[in-house]
Amino acid sequence: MAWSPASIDPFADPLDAVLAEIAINIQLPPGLHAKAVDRYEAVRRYIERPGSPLEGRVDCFYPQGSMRIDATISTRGTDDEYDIDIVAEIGGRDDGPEALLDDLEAALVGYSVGKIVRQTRCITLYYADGMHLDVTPARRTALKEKQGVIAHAKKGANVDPPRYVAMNAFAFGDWYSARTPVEERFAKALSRRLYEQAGIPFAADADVHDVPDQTPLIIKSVTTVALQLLKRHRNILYANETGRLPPSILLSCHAGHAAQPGMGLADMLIRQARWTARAIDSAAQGGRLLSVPNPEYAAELFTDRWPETQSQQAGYARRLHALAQGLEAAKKGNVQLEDLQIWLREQFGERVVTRSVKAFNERLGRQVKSGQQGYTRSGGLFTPSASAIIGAVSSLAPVAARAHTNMGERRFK
Amino acid sequence: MSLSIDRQIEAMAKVWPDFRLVGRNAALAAWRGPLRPLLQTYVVEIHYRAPLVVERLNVRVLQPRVYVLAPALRPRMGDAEGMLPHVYYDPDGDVFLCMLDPDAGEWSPSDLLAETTVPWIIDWLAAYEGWRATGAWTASGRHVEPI
Repeated sequence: MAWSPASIDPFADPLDAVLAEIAINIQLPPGLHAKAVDRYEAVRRYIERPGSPLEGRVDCFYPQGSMRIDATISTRGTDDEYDIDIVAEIGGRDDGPEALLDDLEAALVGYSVGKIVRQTRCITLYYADGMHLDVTPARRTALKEKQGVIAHAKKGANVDPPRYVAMNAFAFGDWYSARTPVEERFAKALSRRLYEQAGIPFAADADVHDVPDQTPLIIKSVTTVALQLLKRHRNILYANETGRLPPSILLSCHAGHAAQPGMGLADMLIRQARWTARAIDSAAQGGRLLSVPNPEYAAELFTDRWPETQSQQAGYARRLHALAQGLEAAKKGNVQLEDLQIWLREQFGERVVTRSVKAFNERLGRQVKSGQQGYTRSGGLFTPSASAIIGAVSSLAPVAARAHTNMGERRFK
Repeated sequence: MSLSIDRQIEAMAKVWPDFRLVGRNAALAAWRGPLRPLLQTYVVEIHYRAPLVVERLNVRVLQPRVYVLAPALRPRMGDAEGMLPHVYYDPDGDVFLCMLDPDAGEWSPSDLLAETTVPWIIDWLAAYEGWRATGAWTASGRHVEPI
């Protein structure tokens, strides 16, 4: 059987391991994950309180988007601010999209939070620790689970009249989850690193379906981690632009289509980057703009606000192809860690990549010093997440790690 | 007991088939081959002379010499670890790697190079790349300082 590091361990391949460190560094930290859940439950209680304009009208309240599929990463232009998206399904009388947003805005008046801002489709709550909670009011319009509309109403905009927009974020979340099952070895290895970094003990031996509540598997699949990297890449790409950027839901939808459990992280990232780039190329060849519907509700278009022009979509496709080409070159060619780091900084941001390569280097050193490494037959250093894996891999060189001390003299010129 | 050069050559061929024997003269041998510790392939050369039975075993002198032929190692002037960490310089100014403490019993001529020297080169090169990228040498290390 061919040597396939990814099938053995997520940290077996150096490029996968560096990407995994980057992914860990852009995750919603475990403490904030729990806080986000507490906060959206508190918001629900507040908007339903006696005397609220929404008292008795909130039929359900659920996370959507990144929070729903555990793909949250830091917001564009930041390394430590996070957007959490919540849908509030509102029942009762229908006074139109503007009134729906008015009611939610009124229900949130007086809520104890740093700042409350009304947007075109949601109300954003800003917390002092950098978390933003976007609460989107929706109305159910069909019998299908949570199929409905959300309000689109820009205050004072004459050219953009208020309207309802089709939406079924809940069904999309289910669709995505069904296509991206938990990949146990990967999920455990990365979650362990995530919790270690946060200083929280992780029950490494717990069964995936039976992890303790305080340490849920926030990281579940290679597909979703690759999606997070792709979103981070987009955030860095558009960090200095003020216009709309390729929407996360579009990338999530393509990730769901591209999902293929068992792939390595770099390969999956390449696959997703190419997937979206080729979809754009294909649309452009036909003179069209990219159009991606919700696979569970065709009336909902994930691309209804981006792309707006041919040049906009072509520019993004070009950068996605470049990302894929760079990763392919690193896999197949020759690149030293310092050169890889320079390139990765351009793709995923300076601070995060610097921190991640440092963590990667520290992990390598720790494992080598404690004899937890193996060697591939091509002269590769094999440092899996669990040293027990080394003995189980028959394709490694038949050589045991042995302690040694690098000595030498120091010359400064 | 010291292993013969034939025994070393046999083990190298078996464990690291990509390494070629590029020189042989009595008990002296040299191998050249590729190693890819992370994402860069290096070509290294190992020079070793198996000691005679009657010879005094001085590890400091007998240890294999390892040269990185390509790509060239990248020195960094002003680094606290030295411009290249954990190397020795021969009289011609060529650099060879130092991967063992000769006084600590970590290696002797009774060890196979295939099981010690080659994996230690891999460890060294990975640590070197980490040092170049981050400034920190995270593998084991101790400098020989003038007394």
